[in-house]
Amino acid sequence: MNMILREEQYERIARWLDGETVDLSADEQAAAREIRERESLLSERLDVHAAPEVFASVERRVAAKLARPRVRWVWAGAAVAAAAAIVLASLWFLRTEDVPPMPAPGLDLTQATHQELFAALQASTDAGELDLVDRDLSELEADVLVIQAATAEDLRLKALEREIEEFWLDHSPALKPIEG
Amino acid sequence: MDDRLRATIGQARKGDAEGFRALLKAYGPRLYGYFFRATGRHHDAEDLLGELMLRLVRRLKSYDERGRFDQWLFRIAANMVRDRIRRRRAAPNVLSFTPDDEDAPQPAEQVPGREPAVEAGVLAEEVSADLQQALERLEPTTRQMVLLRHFGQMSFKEIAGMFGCPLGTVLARVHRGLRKLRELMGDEHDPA
Repeated sequence: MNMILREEQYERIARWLDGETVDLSADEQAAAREIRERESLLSERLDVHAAPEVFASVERRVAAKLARPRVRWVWAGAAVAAAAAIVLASLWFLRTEDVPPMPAPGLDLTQATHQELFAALQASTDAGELDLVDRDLSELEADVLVIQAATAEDLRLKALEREIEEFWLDHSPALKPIEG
Repeated sequence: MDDRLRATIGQARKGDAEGFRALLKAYGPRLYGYFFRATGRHHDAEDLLGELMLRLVRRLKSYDERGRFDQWLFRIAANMVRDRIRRRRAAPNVLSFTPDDEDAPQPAEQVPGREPAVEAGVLAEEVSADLQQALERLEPTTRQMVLLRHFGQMSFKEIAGMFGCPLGTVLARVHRGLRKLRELMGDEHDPA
């Protein structure tokens, strides 16, 4: 059946096939029947049965998508916390950047010069560490003073003692027995 | 829209996975069938179905409950198919399966040892390769209209609104497409 229909005839048939009440001509009714039968026949063959794995896979993708916003919030929170930490660290650094750099961790206090120790003292802002460095410095200064003083005086005293001993050995009077 | 569907959509709108699972169960088979028949590939059908469900997650809130859910859903699906076909045509190393000229030979038919559009063994008896090949010979818009009538259960008026063309034009195209399918598939499938 190869009837030629006009556009307005197709429109009337379409409305009828959509369920509207339309008076169709004989040609239009024939065309409507043909379209309906062919659609019906095609429908029987068009359906496709997908494997269950297909739907399981799609379901997993949806579940992952639904879960992602929560994960995103966690990451956003972590990013904000990291940014805050960076800002705080920067502020702290700016506040303390005039302080001379800390001495190397391996600084030997017993070998350090006064300048190095003083620098270490200034660089430290920790009360406990400050006290420790201060104490070490005081002890070292005391030791240095003691060592320096002992060396000068001892040498002089020892030299004087030696001279006295030698004098008496050279000029010692003959010893006489004590008469009683 | 019935109350059950409204409740399911409401559940999904709240981001409840169970709601989306119910929608997938209700519409998944039809959508998959539509995607497969429109693209001719199971891989594309699965991919498009997954993509559509992900779009639903984002766009379900924009659905106006006054309209028919099927129509809204298949409108999105039809746009996705159109984009997929366009991209496939744009890809230089991929053969088009939908020539503009319905009577032109299929590029795939000219390649010796080509992979069949319908993967053998997967479709089994449910899917007929000749029907798929016949569908692939239709002009894309006509094929879409024919498929949306079946899978989307859409009226001619709804299809006309979707494609922005007169009602009479839609039926004329569908009629021509059905006749073409009959010619391609042979008279044994035609009751007329």
